[in-house]
Amino acid sequence: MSSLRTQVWMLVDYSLCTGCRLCEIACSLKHEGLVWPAASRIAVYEHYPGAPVPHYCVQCPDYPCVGACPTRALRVDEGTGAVLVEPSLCVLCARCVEACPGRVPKIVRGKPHVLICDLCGGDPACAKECARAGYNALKVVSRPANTAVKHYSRPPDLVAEELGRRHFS
Amino acid sequence: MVNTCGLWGRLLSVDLSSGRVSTESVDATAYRMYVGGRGLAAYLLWRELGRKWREVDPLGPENLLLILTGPLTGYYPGVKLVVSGKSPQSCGVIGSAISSHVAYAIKAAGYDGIVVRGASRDPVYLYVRDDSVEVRDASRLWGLGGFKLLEALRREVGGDAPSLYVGPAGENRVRTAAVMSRWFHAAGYGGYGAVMGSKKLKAIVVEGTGPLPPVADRDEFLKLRHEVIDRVASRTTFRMWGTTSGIWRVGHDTSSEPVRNWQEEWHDREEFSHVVLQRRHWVKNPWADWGCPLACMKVSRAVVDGVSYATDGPDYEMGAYLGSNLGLFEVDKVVALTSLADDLGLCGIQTGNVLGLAVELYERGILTREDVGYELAWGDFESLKRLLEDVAYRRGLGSVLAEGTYRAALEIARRKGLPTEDVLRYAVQVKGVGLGAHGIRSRRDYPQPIAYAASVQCGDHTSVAGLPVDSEESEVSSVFADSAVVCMFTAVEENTMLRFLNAVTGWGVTREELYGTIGPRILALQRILLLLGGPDVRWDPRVHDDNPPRFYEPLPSGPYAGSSASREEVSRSLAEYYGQLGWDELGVPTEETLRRLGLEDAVEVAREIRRELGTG
Amino acid sequence: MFCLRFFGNLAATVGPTVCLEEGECVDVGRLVEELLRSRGEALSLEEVLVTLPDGSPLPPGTTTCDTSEIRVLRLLRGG
Repeated sequence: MSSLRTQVWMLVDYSLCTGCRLCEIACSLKHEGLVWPAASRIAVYEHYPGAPVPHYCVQCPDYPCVGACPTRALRVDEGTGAVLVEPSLCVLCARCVEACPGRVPKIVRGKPHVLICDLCGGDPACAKECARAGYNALKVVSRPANTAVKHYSRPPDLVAEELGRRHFS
Repeated sequence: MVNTCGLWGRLLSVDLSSGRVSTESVDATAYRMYVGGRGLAAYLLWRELGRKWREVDPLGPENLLLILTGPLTGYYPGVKLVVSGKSPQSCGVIGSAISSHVAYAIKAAGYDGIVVRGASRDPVYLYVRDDSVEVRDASRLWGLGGFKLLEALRREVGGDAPSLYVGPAGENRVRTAAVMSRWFHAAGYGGYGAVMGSKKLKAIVVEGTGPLPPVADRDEFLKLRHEVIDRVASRTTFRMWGTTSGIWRVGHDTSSEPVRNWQEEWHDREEFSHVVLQRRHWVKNPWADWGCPLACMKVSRAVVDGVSYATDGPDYEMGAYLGSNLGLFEVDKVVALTSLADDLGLCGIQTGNVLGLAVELYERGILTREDVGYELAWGDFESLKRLLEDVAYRRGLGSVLAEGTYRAALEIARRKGLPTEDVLRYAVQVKGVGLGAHGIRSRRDYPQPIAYAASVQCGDHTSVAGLPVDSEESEVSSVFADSAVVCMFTAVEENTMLRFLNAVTGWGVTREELYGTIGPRILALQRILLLLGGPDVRWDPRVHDDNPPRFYEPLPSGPYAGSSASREEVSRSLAEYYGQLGWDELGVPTEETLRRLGLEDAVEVAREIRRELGTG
Repeated sequence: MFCLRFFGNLAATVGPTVCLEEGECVDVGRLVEELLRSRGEALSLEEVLVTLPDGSPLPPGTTTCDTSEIRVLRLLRGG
């Protein structure tokens, strides 16, 4: 159980997110070496002005994506708790996307496997960039040892509706 | 493919008359000479329409609508794109910069820009997803305001695809119509909303799923990127209040804010300030566009007469032009007018400028209740709102005002049987473009006395001319920002910007080359096309390279009361400015200058312009 | 002798060049801010661009002992 306590997790404060997507740029620079917003493992949606929705893997305690993968391309990193993709095993069947309560895994033209946040080995580039800009909407914390974390994972459209209603009811 | 990093070397080309979609390449030499964005627009327009420029109706199918990024788009923090074409305001070329997610999406889709030719018979919108490009039916979208349009587009294409679009104002070919993006963003200068509307093009939706092109020096790029982010993120006051603090400061501190059609430039109305907006109306602060570490935007909300309005800020220009310039100092109502302008797709600057003219003419008895259909008064929200809508829908007098300040003044003089000067003296515009909300009389703000008179983008406060031409005071500075295409608010000093440009492109552009060759080249080409003008208006430098008459009236109030522009200083500075750029005494680039800048093919046209002016 | 070169309207109101005799090493940013304030310019350091004579950025913490001349221009033109 000791590894669980060291696992990191990322909180989002919707009210602090400016919708700038520096997180997407930082993620793609880190993982792809290019500015490639679509290949970022974190995505920001904004259906209502001023109500951006950062959207990423929250590492559900029961990892439905891992269980749904028919080729065993997904596994849980013991250190961070992140879902890791084995590119050579992934066949882009999208079962993980369907199994995910937030429909988080991304399938992107030019990438032969799904994209899921790997927490950058415990030091996420997105959160660092967000802090660098002084926004601090993403906060890296120790992973809470309860099931509350899974509640974060909802399709972005739904979250956008709820956040948008706060501003524009 | 172009042998340049940071660019693809190809543009998406759409002919709406035939429905044909293709790509066209831009060679590396053109990029090296014109950089991108505004510079590339001048080049493309000159190449394609230069010979027949005067005959090209900006609202006819032969005009081009250009949506261009630049080499720094998507790399430098703060993303913009440039909308251009032959301007229905100045009849020259204006690089109209707008903050839009479409900018990076175009590059992620594999293009540097979009060229729209021809005109569709029926309303359409353009849907681009990487290589897949469709001209789609927009009959159900035609007539929608911006806010409803964006909801409809989201249902239609799904997800979060960024778009550029026009509201009813653009559809109705209103010359003060803007190309809009993301609810509240406008490419206002130039009047390209009318161009887009004339092509029956309601929207351009772009989804790009690929990477941006590789950069030349990745390590240097990554290092500079963080350096710029750190510096820009430290602009704490600007992040907190954005440009909105100007509605108080530019008026109260620097006496350069339009008040009642520029009759004054000073106010001490404490209820008209950024902090009142912050306390009462801002529901989101700070708010940012793609890749921006500054976040100068704020989402505001106000309920006026039971109707809910939302907008950004209002930022300084909207606050000044739809507030103080109309004698309106109640911020909730300024939020409402700004939100209406956003939804109708009107440029708040140009429209607030022409509305100010109308109210002053009404006040002076030149316009009457019979002309307008109702009474006009400074600060009267109901009638201002009605007039704004009349402009967008070209109803009654609104249809005259929809021609923009200059043309409206001429038409009103004609209808009233007045000498044109009697109306033009209240028109605060230069060469068809209403001035941005920064006056020159107090000398305490940034625009120099020739800021607008000598600018190739005329009244554009984001492209002011200044001396010396080899410093950041020069219009070259704006040419650079609009051609590399970066946001002027995230810009830092030019040396660092050039290092950034070189890290991305590998070009090795020096400060000397920017100020000595690249900048002057783009300015010279824009100047020549502006002097060509046509078909409905032409500019004579002896008449039109000047400030609006109002700027020679002394400021009546505030700490700089009595200050005005000096005719002597303006003509002396113009001569010096032309001289420094290698233009002749009337501001026509000389043959020698054109040859030095690699514009040999413009020599004959410049000679023709000089001949017509009687100096060649 | 430490000189500040002003551009544009700042040159018109403050003067194109202002030279000061500084006895000790003074932070350049603070000096610029105080000078602008004393000349009635309602500008903060966020709104001006201070560079070395060649146009390159001023390293943080630069004092009047590190350089003998600086350029001061308006930043955030537009808006």
